[in-house]
Amino acid sequence: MLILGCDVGAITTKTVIFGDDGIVAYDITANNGNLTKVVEKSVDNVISKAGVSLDGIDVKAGTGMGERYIPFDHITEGIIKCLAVAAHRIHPHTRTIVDMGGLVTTAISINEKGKVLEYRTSDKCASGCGFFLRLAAQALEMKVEDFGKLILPYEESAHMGTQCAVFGESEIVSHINDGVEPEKIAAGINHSLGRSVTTMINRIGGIKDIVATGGVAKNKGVIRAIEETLGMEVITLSSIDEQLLGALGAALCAQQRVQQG
Amino acid sequence: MAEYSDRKDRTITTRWQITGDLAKFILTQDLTHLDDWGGKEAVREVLPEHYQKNFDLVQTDLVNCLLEEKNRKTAMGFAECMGNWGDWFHSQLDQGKKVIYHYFVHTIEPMLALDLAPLCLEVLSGLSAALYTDGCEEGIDTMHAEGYPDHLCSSNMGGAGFLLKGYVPQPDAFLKGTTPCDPSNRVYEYLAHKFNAPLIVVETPYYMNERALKFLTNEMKRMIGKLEKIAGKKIDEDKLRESIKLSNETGEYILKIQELRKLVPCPDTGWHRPADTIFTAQMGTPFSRDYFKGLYEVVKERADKGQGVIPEGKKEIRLAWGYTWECFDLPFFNWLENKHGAIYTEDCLTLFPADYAMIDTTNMETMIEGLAQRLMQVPMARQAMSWSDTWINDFVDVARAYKIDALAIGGHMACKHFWALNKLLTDKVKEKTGVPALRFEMDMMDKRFTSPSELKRIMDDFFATF
Amino acid sequence: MTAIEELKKLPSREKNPYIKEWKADGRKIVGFTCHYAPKEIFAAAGIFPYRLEARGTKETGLADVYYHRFNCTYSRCILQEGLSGGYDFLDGVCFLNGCEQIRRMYEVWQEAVPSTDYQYMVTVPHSIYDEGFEWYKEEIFRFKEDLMSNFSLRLNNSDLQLSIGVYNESKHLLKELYELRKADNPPISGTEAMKIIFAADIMPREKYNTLLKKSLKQIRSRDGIKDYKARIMIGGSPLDDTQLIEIIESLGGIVVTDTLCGGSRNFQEFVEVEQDGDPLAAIARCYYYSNPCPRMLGHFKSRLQYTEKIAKEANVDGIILQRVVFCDNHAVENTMLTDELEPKGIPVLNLEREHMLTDVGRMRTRIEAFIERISRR
Repeated sequence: MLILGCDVGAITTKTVIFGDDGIVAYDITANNGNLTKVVEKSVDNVISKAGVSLDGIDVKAGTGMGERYIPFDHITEGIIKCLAVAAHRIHPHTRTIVDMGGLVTTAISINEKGKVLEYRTSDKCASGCGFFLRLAAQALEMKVEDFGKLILPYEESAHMGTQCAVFGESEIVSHINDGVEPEKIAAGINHSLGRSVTTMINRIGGIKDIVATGGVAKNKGVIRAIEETLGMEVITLSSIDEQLLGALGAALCAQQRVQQG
Repeated sequence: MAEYSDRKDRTITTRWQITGDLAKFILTQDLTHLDDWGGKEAVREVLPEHYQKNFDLVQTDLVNCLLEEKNRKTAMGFAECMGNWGDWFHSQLDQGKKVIYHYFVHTIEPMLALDLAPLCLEVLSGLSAALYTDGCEEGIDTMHAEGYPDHLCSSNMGGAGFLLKGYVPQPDAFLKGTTPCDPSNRVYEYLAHKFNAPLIVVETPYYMNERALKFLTNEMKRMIGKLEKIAGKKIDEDKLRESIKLSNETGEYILKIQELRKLVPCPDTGWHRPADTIFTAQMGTPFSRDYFKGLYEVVKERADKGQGVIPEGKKEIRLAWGYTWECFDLPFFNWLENKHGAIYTEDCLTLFPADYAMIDTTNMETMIEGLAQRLMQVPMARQAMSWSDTWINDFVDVARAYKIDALAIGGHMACKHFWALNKLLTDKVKEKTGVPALRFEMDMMDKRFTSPSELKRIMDDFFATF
Repeated sequence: MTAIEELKKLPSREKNPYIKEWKADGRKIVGFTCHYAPKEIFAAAGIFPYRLEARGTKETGLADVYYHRFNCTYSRCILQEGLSGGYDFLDGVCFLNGCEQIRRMYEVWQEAVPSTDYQYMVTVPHSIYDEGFEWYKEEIFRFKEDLMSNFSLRLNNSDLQLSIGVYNESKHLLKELYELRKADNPPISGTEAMKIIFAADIMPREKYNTLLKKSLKQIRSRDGIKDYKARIMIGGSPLDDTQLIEIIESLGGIVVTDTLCGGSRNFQEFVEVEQDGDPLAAIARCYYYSNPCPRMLGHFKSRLQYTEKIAKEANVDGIILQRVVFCDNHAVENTMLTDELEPKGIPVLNLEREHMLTDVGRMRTRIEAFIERISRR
């Protein structure tokens, strides 16, 4: 059976094709412009990589905040459940998932069977999310991907105290004007994100194994900052791109539904 | 055709009158959905002209929700009461009675006994948000334009903005209990200053014991004294007794309905809960009594037949709302029932303590003490202006008595005292009852903060984890 | 170190040398959250009253677990200190229902700061009237009884009279300091003055009075500050450090007075025992009636008069009304005051800030523009 899972997030759309032996192909496309067109593009990319047609897919599933823009018939799955199912499938010892997305950070507590026990989202504040990293990268004239290499102790990093992503950019500019090195500012941003994410984990009481997912999970500086503040290891899954858990989870949930009839 | 006022300062209340009459008209037609007649536009064509403009303003989803069989009778009761209240209120204005803007925690019996015309500021916001596509955002934005920020409470801001715009009558006074919070206190202070009108303050103590009741009883006496000065006469004990008897009767119905909601399946629908709060602010009037009497009859009939309110074949998920409802999308609660089988048991604004209803009407002393007791116990104010364990224990009790499956908490963004308590509340309820909680941010009146579609997405994600 | 230096440089919390000294003698320290706490009573019983502050707190990760982004950073920073051990030295905390942000901290603190053995809540009515005073007086009495019982202490009226004397003396000295600041060429900057004022609530009061007396002598002998562009009054949300004032003064302003609860509101009235005969009642009367706090409903006009009076007495050129983001009381108060003051020709700048000052560049731009607007030269 071939299953397509599509996660339409805040900043990117992720699509996977999942078969009997695992992920056959995947795609991650930035959300620029019309979301329906972005979904179509992402799906075209992934079916091309898999060498199949859309009609050749047995089951199609969608999730994420932009799920309603998926233009073809599909099963709708809740993103929280998708993340839980996928993380548990890949790493069965997972008990806490922290998904660090473009606009939303979510902390999820699951049991040994992968069932969701509790979760909290960061609601309407992007200060601990990928969106803020993008703003920061622009302000510092750096690549977002390079932020992850900037791991400095908290005391050596620039202090980022602002509670708001928009004013955070203004704070960065203040640091630049004060002559603080961009690397220290970037490290300070990593710490700031790390603290926000740790708060989310603590709100639900993080139990190990703690698994980090989402685009921001690729930033090792943030992961290190979380570990420092939390005092616990945070695992990033090496067998799958961190951004794909939602799409994979949608595919797995849809598969379960179909198998249960 | 009914005569409707074209006075600017009756814009809001006239709108409600027309909507009430329009709703009665539509509910008596043979319609279960606007699409039965070809959609909203087609229905509009067949409406009498004087209803058409008002119909354009009313939320389409709300109309379809109220046309559903399970909701019709309650909707009719709501429409009748709203229309009757509008007629009555305008007649008070025509008689030159003084207008007292009051916070919703105050039941209005003393004002009725003094021949004053009470108007609840928060009902101005809430009813507008509930019925119309434009909600009360114009009022909120008017206050923002004056420099008052969005972290103040939209339940006050909407009505306050309408006052500034002149859409409601000029105030003769403002009445504010100091419960539950600073934001509401501040808006009333601003309004009293802006309109150079007296501000009558009733201090509601932090405790709920004998000492507090004695203090609050004295506060009620002070309040009555100040209202008497505005009314220019002494309070009429018989009139007070008459309206308290009505509010006692209303309270009895409320408590009976509350008991019935504990049944499985739950025989009461969810869409009308914000409307319930709007009518508890009118306790002491025949409209409020009639509304709750009608509601009780509908719920009792279902309960006697063992009927629920969710579609056949769905498993009932019993939710309690740990704080307020959202007022701008009443069909949302209907959608929860129909799509997810999720029923509404109680929420913080409509959870009445068992001893709330009965005020002893023997004499002035007993009545005033009874009113004080009511003010101390009024839903939301009781939990908000007191120790955290009041709130926590109330919802532990709800979780057990109503056999709830989950606590949903849409935290109103203006409620700092709630947000300071949010983790303790949900942790303790879970610890004592095992019931999980969903918390999310929203604004009670302003749909721009968390939109109706976002609310649905949040609930879809939540129910997927069940 | 001179007396001024000692007051200005007094560290907070665990680094504060008076705390160690006090506790070494086995004496108790009880924190309080707002100006309505009756400090004279603590002191009369031999307890060091310490106003909870969050000077230097940079982040709120632990507090954010309990509180939320709609709770102001002032309250979250104080809670953060409690949760991270910054207040482990306290033997108790007196909470008050001063505002929405702080009052629920009582239960959170009880749950999550186990180092604090003793907690009490004093409730203050939200309006100023005789029956409200009777309630507050009763609250103070009950608090006193509970405090004494918990710590096995005693106090009598003469202890209270002595303590009243000490705190009244503070008020006289602080009034003198503010008088000096009114000069055309003030001998002390706003930054220095506020640091001296902040020290009052975090050290034993007799010692403070001694140092303040010496400081005043030193201040009187100074040359006045001439090179400033504008005289400014600051009002609004509680300030517990001088960062904002430093920014104002680095841009040519001089802060010569304030309407802050940690500032001029502290010494508006003296405790006068004669009127009530009962020192406890006199203390209650002074706290209840003399604090022009915006939490009090129905008294805006008198607060407006107070604001105008203080501004006029110090001959200010403009007023900066600041508030912490999500502070409801000052959000409305500051706007209402601005709407009254500007038409009377008193320029006002409204500023929003976090407790830990971030985004300084944007703030500097706004203050600089305001100072240019009101500049004397």
